[in-house]
Parts: sequence; structure tokens; C-alpha cells
Amino acid sequence: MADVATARPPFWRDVRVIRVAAQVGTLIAAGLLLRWLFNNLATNIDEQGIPSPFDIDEWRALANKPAGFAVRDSSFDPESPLWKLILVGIQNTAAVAAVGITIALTLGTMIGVGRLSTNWVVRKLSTLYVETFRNIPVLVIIIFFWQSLFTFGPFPLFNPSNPPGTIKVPGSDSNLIIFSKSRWGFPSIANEANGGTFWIVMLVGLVIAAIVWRWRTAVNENTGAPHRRVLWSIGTLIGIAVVAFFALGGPIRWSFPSVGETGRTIVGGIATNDAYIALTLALGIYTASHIAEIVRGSILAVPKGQNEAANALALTGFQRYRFVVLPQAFRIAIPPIINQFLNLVKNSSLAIAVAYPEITALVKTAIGNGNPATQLIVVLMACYLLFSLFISLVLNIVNRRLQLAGR
Amino acid sequence: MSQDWGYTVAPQDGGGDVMHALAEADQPRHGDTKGPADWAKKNLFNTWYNSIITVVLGAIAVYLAYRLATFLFVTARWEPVRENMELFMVGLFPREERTRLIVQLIMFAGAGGLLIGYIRNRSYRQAAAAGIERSPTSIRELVGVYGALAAFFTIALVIGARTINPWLVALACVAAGIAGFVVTVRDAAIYWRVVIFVPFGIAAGILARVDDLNNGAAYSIAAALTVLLGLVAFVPRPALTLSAGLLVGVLGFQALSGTGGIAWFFLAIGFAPIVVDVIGQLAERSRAQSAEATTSIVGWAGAIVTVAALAWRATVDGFGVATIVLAVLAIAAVVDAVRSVGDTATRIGGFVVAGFLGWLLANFLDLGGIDWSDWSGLHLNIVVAASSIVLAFPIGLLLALGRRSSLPVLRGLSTVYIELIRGVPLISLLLMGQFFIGFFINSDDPLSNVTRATAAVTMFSAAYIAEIVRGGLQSVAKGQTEAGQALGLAPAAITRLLILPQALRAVIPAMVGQFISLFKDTSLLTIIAITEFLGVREIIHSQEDFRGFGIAETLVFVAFGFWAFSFTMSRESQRLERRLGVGQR
Repeated sequence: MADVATARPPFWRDVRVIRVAAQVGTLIAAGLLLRWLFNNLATNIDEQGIPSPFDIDEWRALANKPAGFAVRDSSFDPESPLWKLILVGIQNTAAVAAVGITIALTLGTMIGVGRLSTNWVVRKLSTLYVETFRNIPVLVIIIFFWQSLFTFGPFPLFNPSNPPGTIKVPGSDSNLIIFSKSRWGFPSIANEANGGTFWIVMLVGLVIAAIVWRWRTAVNENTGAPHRRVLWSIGTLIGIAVVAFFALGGPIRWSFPSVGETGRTIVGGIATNDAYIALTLALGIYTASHIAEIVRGSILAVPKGQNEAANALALTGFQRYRFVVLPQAFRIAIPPIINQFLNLVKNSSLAIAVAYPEITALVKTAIGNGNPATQLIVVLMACYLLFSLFISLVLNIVNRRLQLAGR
Repeated sequence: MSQDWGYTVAPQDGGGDVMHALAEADQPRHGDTKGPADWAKKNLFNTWYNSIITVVLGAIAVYLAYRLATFLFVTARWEPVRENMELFMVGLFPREERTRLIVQLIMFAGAGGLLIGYIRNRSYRQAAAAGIERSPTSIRELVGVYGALAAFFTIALVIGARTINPWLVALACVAAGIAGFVVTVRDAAIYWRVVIFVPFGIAAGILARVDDLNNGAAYSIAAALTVLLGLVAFVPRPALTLSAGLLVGVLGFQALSGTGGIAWFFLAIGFAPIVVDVIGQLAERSRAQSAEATTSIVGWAGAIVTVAALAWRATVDGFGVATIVLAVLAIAAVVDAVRSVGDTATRIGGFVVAGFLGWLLANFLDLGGIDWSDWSGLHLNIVVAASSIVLAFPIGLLLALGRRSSLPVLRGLSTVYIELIRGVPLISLLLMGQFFIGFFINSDDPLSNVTRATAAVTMFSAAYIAEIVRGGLQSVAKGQTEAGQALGLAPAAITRLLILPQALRAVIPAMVGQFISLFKDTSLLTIIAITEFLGVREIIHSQEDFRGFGIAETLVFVAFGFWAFSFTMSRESQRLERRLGVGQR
């Protein structure tokens, strides 16, 4: 009987052997598969006479090769190397992502809350919005905005004989908005002398405001006095801004857009184009419909008991939302909303359809100009991976900070 | 801690709780109704700011609705849509071969009817076994779910049909669907069961008129279907019904596509349910006979069949992929037959027989067709979405299991694949497919654009399906695994028998959601110059008559088409979720 305890199973039934064998087997199989694929790739690329992706010198040559084409509404020089082109693309993708995410988050939160409103009209309109935009492909929405607003839209042309439309700042001669079928201008903030110093001071002011925030929180915790930390911090920041502005002798000013002398460009302010507006608006509106569902679901996912407890404490409806429901819903909502942000960034690659020069469109044009596809698409994918990793890293840190302790 | 408070935080990736909350909130609620004035006071004017919101938003909504209505019914010029309805639906499919599409439609409708009826029948029987009354589906519920799709097709017919023929096709499809449903849903009287032959007879008759398909093949299909449906009608076994439904669908697909070389594979899949069923019974019987652990006769038979198939393949085409696969199977079968009761040998033998049957049938019918690089329009969207999800599911399942594996190498490889794919946009994969996926494969004839796109979409959705399945695997309680271990089951058996059935049931709604987004994503194929539903617009607006004319109208129609499909599927998935009671057990 003692044999039973000491007897080892035959090696093909021994868990330890199986574990090692399975892993080694998988590695070999995966290695063979990859070898086969890459061998094919190497042979085929060799046959076609395309620069090999396995040669570091070819990569270097590719990176420094002149791009050979201009980028729309950009100061990019066609003689600049390809790596600069990629940087322009990344910059444009970031511009879409930043504004698109802002639109999506704002609109999505409003509509998500609207779906839970006690007002029948608000509820139904929010539902209509969500059910419409969630079920239409984002590409269709992008093309719709682009074509119906701009290509066949109501706006005037932009050339010397057909000047664009303008909206003036009330009581002055400068343009608030320049609008046309192809180019739009918005006001922006421009630096005068001491501009750099002003922004550094503002950065310090931000730190001071954060310290004030902490101080008011501490006061509230120690004495029970109302903290009013939002008012305090914003007040501090505005105070610093006003003092710095006058002390530095007006370091910044508004820059309003105006039509350039050739009648084909916008001078001053921020100039964008139709493709950017259509793309950003469409992505924001599409993603908002998904975020709205997440917001609604998160609010509903806060258990009933929490609401009942708040009612038992005689909190008002606003207090119940502000102090009980929303803080918990917010925590539930963060991970899926991060996913939506990532989706928005990835969907910005559809700019190809409206000829907005973000990274995918530029890479595709570069490939069309006879550059090797393999390397460029690998670079493209790497850029998106880095973008995704960056966003999820930042937001995961936020998420970890905000989750309740003990989870 | 969190458990004590009774609430949980959504898992990192999925937001499962969010979905659950949404599913609950979407259930119909019954408010107390006291009269319209009371209702208006409560829902529209309960506070002063709500009154303002109601009035302002209401005015805006009415104005927008008015503008929309004027656009749709007065100012819109629907001629581009009206003239090109066929182009939207099937694109550039060769005009003289379009009878094939009619057959396919009728067959799919019939197959769908058979399968839905079968599922319904099973749930009736389960309800009866559990002693509960199964609530019948109300008309209102059906309209809520399928109304959008029905509206789309009706509008398409009303706008686009210039002759009576499209209406007749639609009628035949509805008839085939209803007939298939009627045959399987209830143990109905015999004269009802004859009904199903009518639409399929019509389908076979139409097929006989297809030019390049020999009449023999058409009549063989008709005969095979008749025999099959006769069997289904008179021998009500679920596996038979499933097989029949699948075969009808596969034949419908095969009658069209140009994948002649692998027709046998599709057909073998069609045979799979009945093979599994028969093997299960055989294995049961053999186990009952041989009380002590000796190999049963069917086990030996399975091993012998496999070895015979190996010998045959080896003599026919020497050393190839099929021979290697068969050799592995044969060794496994023989080892199993020698060492144990022989269940595995029985199964392997059964599948070998199914493959052989499929091969025979494919050779006999000699199915050729229109290569699917010629397919386009809405038809292509549906086919690409469906085939990618079918192809991606097994890959995704393996990836999910790999990611949950305790073996670091498997886990690492799966994780890298999943995260890599999920981190890049689909369009970059499509570009990869367009520009250099062909380089990876040493093939003499280049893959068609559609095939490469389907490969890219499959790679893409496999990663997402893997994450969905992983969510399902995580949702199965740990006690299930421990119970399996207590019973002395092997790890593989625990996964296969205990974990997977529960996990997969839990993820059905999420899978539908993935299918919806996949279907919407097929619109991206237009970017790589495939004329799917959205891309058809480019053809239309390059026509002489419609250059720069009716741009918004065609786009609205396309958007409505995508919307109708996606909306219907999302409603259906909500209904499924309620039915399955996901998260409630």
C-alpha cells in the first residue's frame, strides 16, 4: 500500500512534465509559424525589390527620405524627411483626440444624466439621441457631417473673389469667427513681450491654488467649517493672473482671425479646416452616445440602498446626487469611459475618408507615393500602440487614485 | 468589504455592472396612470425649471421634426436611391447570375425558420419539463425588436421595386421562414409538415434556371433537401433539425460562392450536429455494454476508419497538410482504442466520416459559383461580418483560455496578441491586409481584396472576442472549478464540461454586441476600395445622372440601413439578456 503514495505516475501523465512540454511545444509551434511567415515575407519582398524591413540601414534611409508632398494647412515642407511627416501626423491626431474627447465627455454626461431625468421630454430626446447615433457606423456619421455641412453645405467659399463669411466681435471690427466651406478661424490667445514669464507665473499659481485647496480641506477636517475649496482655489488663481497681467504690462492678448492678403489664408487666431471640424464633431457626437450609456448605467448601478440611506438622512435630491450617488457612479464609470477614449483615438484614423492629414491618412499617402508599405504600417501601428498605452497609463493612475481604499 | 456593502465596482475592462444595470433599467415598467393631466404635471411640469426645459426643448424638437419631415417627404430627391436600389443591395454581383441570390435568400429564410422553430420548441419542452408555463412572445415585443428591420426592407421594396418580382421574392422568403418555423416549433399535424417542401421546391426550381450550374446539381440539391426535410418532419430529433438547418444554409451559401475547393469543409460542418448526436448515442451504448474497461466495437471502428482515411489520402495526394492532420488523428484514435474504452476514437472516426460525406457530396454536386471578390453591396457587409465572427470565435476562445492559463508561455503569447490588436485601429489592419498580408503567404495566385479584408477583420475581432470570453470565464464562480476538482475531473474536462458552458451562456449578449460593432465596422471596407453598402454611393455618384446630386439622400438611406440592422440586433440582445437572466442567477 505504501507504494501508492510513493509511486510516480508515468511521465506522460505527470503534471510537471506536461506543463513544461506544453509550453515548449507552444513555443516551438509559434516560432515555426513566425519563421515561416517571415521567411515568406523576406522572399516575397526580395522578389519585388522592395527595401527589406529586416535591415536597419533601410529603416534609417526611409526615415530620412524626403516626403515629397505637402500637407494640407500645415507649414510642412515637402522636402522634409519622412519622420517629420509622422510627427505632423501624430500632432494632428492629438488635436482631434483632445477636442473630440472633450466634446464626447461633456455631451455624453449631459445626455446620460438626461436619460434619467424626471422630465419626459428630456428623457425621450436623450433616448432618441443615443439610439440613433449608437447604431450608425462612425464612418457614415463622419462623411455625413463633412458632406452635409461643408461639401454641399450652406457656407460660402474661400477665395479672393468669394470672401468667407465672418461674425464680428460685438462693437468692434475684429472677427470672432471666420467661416467658409474649407477654412475656419477662431480667436486665440497670443503672447506679447513677457508672455513666457506670464505662463511660468501661471504654472506657479496653479501649484499655489492646489496648496490652497489642500489647506481648505484641512481646515474643514479640523474645524468643521465649510471648506469652499473650489471658490478659494479659483479665486487665488484669478487673483494671481490679474496681478501678473498688470505687473508684466499685458503679456498676453486676444488674437483675432482675419483674411490674409492673398485672400486664401487666415492670419491670426486659430485656423482649422472643414475636415477637422467634421471629423472632431462626428467622433465627439458618436462617442458621446456610448459615454451616455455608460454614465446612465453607472448611476443605475449604484445600489438602491444607497439612495434609501440618503433619503433616510433627509438629504435633498441635489445633495443625494452630489454626495452619495455621483461619487460612486463616477468610480464605476471610469474604466469603461477610458475604453471609449481609446476607441475615439483609434476611430480618428477614419480621417482618411475626409482627407484630414492625421497619421493614418499621411501614412497612406506616403505609401501611395511609392514608399515601402511594411515599414510604414509597422510605424503606424506602433504610434497607435504608444498613444493607447499613454492614455490608459494616465487614466489608470487617475483611476487608482479615485478608487475607494480597500478595493 | 465591498461585498458587505452589497455593491461592486465594474471590472477593469468590461464594465459588467454597467451593462447589468442597463439591462435592468430597460425592462418595461408600469407607472400608475391616473389621467393625462396628472401625467403631464408629473412628467413635464413638476418644477418651474422643468417647465422651462419642457417648453424650450419641446419647441426645438418640434421644429427639428418638422425640418426632418419636410426633408424626407418634400425636398429630398430620392431618385438616386430609387434607381439604384439593386446596386445598394447586391452591388456589382453579375446581373445574369442574380437568380442565385434569390435562391440563397429563400434558403436562408427557410434555414432561419427551421432553427428558430427548433430553439422555440426546445424551450417549450424545457418549460414543460420544469412545470412552468412559458409566456408566449407578444406581437408588441416582436414589433419592438424587428420593426426597424421590417421597416427598412419594406421601404427599400416600396422605393426600389419597379416590377412585381422583388415583392414575390420577399413573399417567398417570408413563406419559407414561416414554413420552416411551423415544421419544427410544435409537434404539429402531418399535413402542416408538408408545407415546408413548397418553398424549397420553388427555390430548387429557380436554381435549375441558373445558367452555369448544371441542372443535375440543382435537382440533386432539391432531392437532398427533400429527403432531409422529410426526415426532420417525421423524425423529430433536435440534432437532425440543426444539421438540416445548417446544411440548407451551407448549400445556399455554396450555390453562390466560388470557394469550390473547400466546399466539403462547409458541408462537413453542416453534418456536425448529427454526427455528434449519433456518436454520443453510440458511445453511450458501447459504454453500457462493456462494463469493464475494454475497447468497444465502435471505438475500434472509429480507429479503423481513421487509419483507412489516412491510407486513402496518402495514396491519393501523397504528403500534404491533410495527410499530416489525418496521421495525427489516426495515431490519437489508435492509442485511445488500445488504451481505453475508445470514446475519443469513436469521435475522431465520426468526424472523419462527416468530412468524407461532405467531400462526396461536394464532388457529386460539383458546386462552383461567383467568386466573392465580385460580391458587393449590403450583401457583402452581411457575409463579411458573419464569416469573420464565425472564423474569429474559435480563435478568440483559444486566446481567452490561453490568457487565463497558468502556463506563462501560453498566457504571454495570448496577452501580447490581444493587446497588440486591441491597441491599433481596424483601418491599420485593413491597410496591412491590402498592402502586405499577401507577402506572408507563399501562394501563387494572389488573394482577392475581399479575402484579405476578411482575414484582417477576423484577426481584429478575435482579440475582442477573446476579451469578451475572458469576462465570461471570470464570471463563473470559483466553486465550480473546486467542485470539479472534488469530483476528480481533469483540468481540461473541468473547463470543457463545467466552465465553458456557463461562461459562454453568460457572454451571448456581449457577443451580439460585438457582432453589431463588427457589422458597423464593415463600412470601413469602403476605404480600401471594396464596394460595400457605403461604397456603392461612390458608384452611384459617378453615374452621369447623379453626379453631385442627392448626396445627402443616399447617405441617409445608407445610415438608415446600418441603423435598422444594428438597432434590431441590439434590441434582440437585450431580449436575450432578459431571457437568459444574465447576472441574475
